[in-house]
Amino acid sequence: MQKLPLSNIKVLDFTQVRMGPQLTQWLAVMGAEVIKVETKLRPESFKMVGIPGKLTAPILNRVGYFASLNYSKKSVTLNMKNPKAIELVKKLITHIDIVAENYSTGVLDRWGLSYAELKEMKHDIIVCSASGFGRTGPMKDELAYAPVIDGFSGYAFDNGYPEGEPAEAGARGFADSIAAHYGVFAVLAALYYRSKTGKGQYLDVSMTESELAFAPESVLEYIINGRVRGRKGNRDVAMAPHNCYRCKGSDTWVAIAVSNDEEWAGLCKALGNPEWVKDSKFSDTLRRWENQNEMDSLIENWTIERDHYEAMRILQAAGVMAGASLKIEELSEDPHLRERGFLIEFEYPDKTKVRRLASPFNLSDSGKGNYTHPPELGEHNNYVFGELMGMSDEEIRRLEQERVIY
Amino acid sequence: MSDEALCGLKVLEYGEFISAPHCGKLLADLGADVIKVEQAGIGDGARRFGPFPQDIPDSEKSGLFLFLNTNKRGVTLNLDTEAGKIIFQQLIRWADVFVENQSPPDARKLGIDYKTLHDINPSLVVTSITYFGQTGPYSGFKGCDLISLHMSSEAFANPAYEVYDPEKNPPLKLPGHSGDFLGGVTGAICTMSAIFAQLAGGMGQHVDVSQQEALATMVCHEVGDYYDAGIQYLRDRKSRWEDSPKYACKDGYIMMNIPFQMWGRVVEMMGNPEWAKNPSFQTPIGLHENWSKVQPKIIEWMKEHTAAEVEKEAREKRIDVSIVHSAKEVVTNELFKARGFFVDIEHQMAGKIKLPGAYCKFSTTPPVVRRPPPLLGEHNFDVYCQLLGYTAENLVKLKQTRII
Repeated sequence: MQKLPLSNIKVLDFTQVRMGPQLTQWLAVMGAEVIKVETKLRPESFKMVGIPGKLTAPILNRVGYFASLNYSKKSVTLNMKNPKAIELVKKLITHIDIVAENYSTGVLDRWGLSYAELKEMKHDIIVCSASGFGRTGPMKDELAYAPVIDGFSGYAFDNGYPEGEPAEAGARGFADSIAAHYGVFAVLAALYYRSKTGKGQYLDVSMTESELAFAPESVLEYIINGRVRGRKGNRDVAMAPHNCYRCKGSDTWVAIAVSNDEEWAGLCKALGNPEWVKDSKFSDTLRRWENQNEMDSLIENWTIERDHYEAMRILQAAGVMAGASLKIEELSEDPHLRERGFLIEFEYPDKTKVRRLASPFNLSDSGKGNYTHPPELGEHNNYVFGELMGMSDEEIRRLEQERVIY
Repeated sequence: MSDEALCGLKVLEYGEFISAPHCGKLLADLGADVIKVEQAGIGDGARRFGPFPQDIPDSEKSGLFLFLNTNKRGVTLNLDTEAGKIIFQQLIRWADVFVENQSPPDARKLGIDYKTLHDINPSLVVTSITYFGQTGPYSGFKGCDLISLHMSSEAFANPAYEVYDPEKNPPLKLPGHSGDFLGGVTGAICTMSAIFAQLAGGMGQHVDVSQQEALATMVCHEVGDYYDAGIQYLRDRKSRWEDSPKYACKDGYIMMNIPFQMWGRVVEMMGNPEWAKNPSFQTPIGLHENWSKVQPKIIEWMKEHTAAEVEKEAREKRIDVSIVHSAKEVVTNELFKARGFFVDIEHQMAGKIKLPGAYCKFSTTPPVVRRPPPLLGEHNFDVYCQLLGYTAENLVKLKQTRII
């Protein structure tokens, strides 16, 4: 069994809310030691809930959203308004391989922790700076909020019902999540480059650019043919049937797609070869495309009589692409995900348990990753300042009293 | 050593349509030497997808293929033949990484399953991107982008605020082929992680990427709500505790975030109307509880202004806002010009074409288009003759016998 891929990597984590924490959580799952810098002055939990009353647990950092995005990390408290805290960070940098942050443009500069300054302290440092619109350019000072990014990048224009309006992407924080993925890849590529050359670098990850690099099709349509596409809903540009159909029960659906004549024959068989499938309106891919409104209603007459898992199983057995449209509670208990070890449980020091989804990291020899409970606020102060940086207990206590380690 | 992050990394790609090719593109654009193997004669399905200039189908001019296959060398090979399998095994010995997106049964049929490849090259990283992964009760299921989006609950949670009637508005796939693209970037992340394990002296291993799992991470908060408090996510708009950030203006739409901290500025933007001075609207809880009274007023105000006016005034007040851009507005937007986001490439058949560029600015190793997307079989000579040592005559025979 090999060690986890990033076992020798340390990350100083100045990220909050969604995009940044999701990025650093990936690194933590891959074995990196991620030191999350928090402060008692402004616990991240408060930023994540929006309004009071959504705090479901009395203990800070037990808020649901925090647990989804911050497992496997370590937490220290540092009051960055205090110059002594900044000095501590500067000493800590010598141990650090990657600095990650998603504050507003300029915050790290004000602390004397710009890339140029960090590079002086550690020449091969990799700094990953994530923002809504980029750290350079005319919008570097704009704030980032996922639906606004969806609007800006054109993604919202394409999302939604054809007969309806543009819509931000569900679930919440989608644009953040996309940027987090590309950010992780950029960090890993930078680490590879460093391993070959000894050089670090500065990564400016932009949510708008990530979302565009992720969803280029409409933009390509405009560039190549000067056309703006309409929304397609669950339909496809060429495949039919290709849609989502009502099943038995409240808000229960199954998605079905057929891409060729063989799969169409499978669908007919699964439906029990009803008379209507023999109509020449549905005899080939082009005719099925043209008559898909009628075809969809006819297919729904079959699906509406069945539970969505049942419909999925019957269709899959006949070689048809079909999937139950899983509700959140169904996904959370999905037997396939459970067998694959994707539904995990953490235990806090006080024995409270919390369940979450794992990260999609699955290597045959290195295993499924490092999973430790989401950290309590400042849980690793003694480890980081004492063990890692060699400070004495008295020093740490004194700095806690002075509200430096706070 | 050039300034390319992944210079020296050798990647073999047998990628069809989007997910594996996207993974290959991310590696190739940062300097990895990516050889893309396409099925002899017909090539990657993305060549048949478009968009095509003037809607004239041409397998060398498909926009999706061009975008996804920059910086790769392209060869053709027929894996259904014994000679093809032997050539493939030679390529496997050359590679550090192999990326593919066949279903597990199809991979075994073609002889590109992990066990077979590991025996040939034990230090090879094999990345398999599938809809449901290599193991588990659904691993034999047939899938596509639509299915992966619905089976990860991402479709159930989309769109967040437009479901007026759950009976009539079904769970909705995301635009384009978002599931497949996410499979690709997740594949790239996990491939890099396996490479580090390889660099640390480890052997090769199998990277098992499930698109269902990749997408499920998008709904991690909703799943958390269920695990923590048994909350069953309801799709209809009335069940959302936050409200839609989208507003219809006179001539278009905007997205605007109005948390309590920004409420004062929004009121100013609307000209400090009397109704906004209501004492119950002046606290976070009060505003939230009375939102059904407040929101219609905002909606009314928005309808009286153009999207451009609202965006301008809101930005001046440092309110989070954007016009909902169409693709046209995106391509002509000043920000992307200033950031140099779009890249111009020159392609032998497609001519000069502009493509979306990179997700990130790298200070030392920026992605560059060193070579345009390959024509079908363009590098057969480079790879089979110069790299593997076949003679030009061999190559002709291989072509004549449909091996390549």
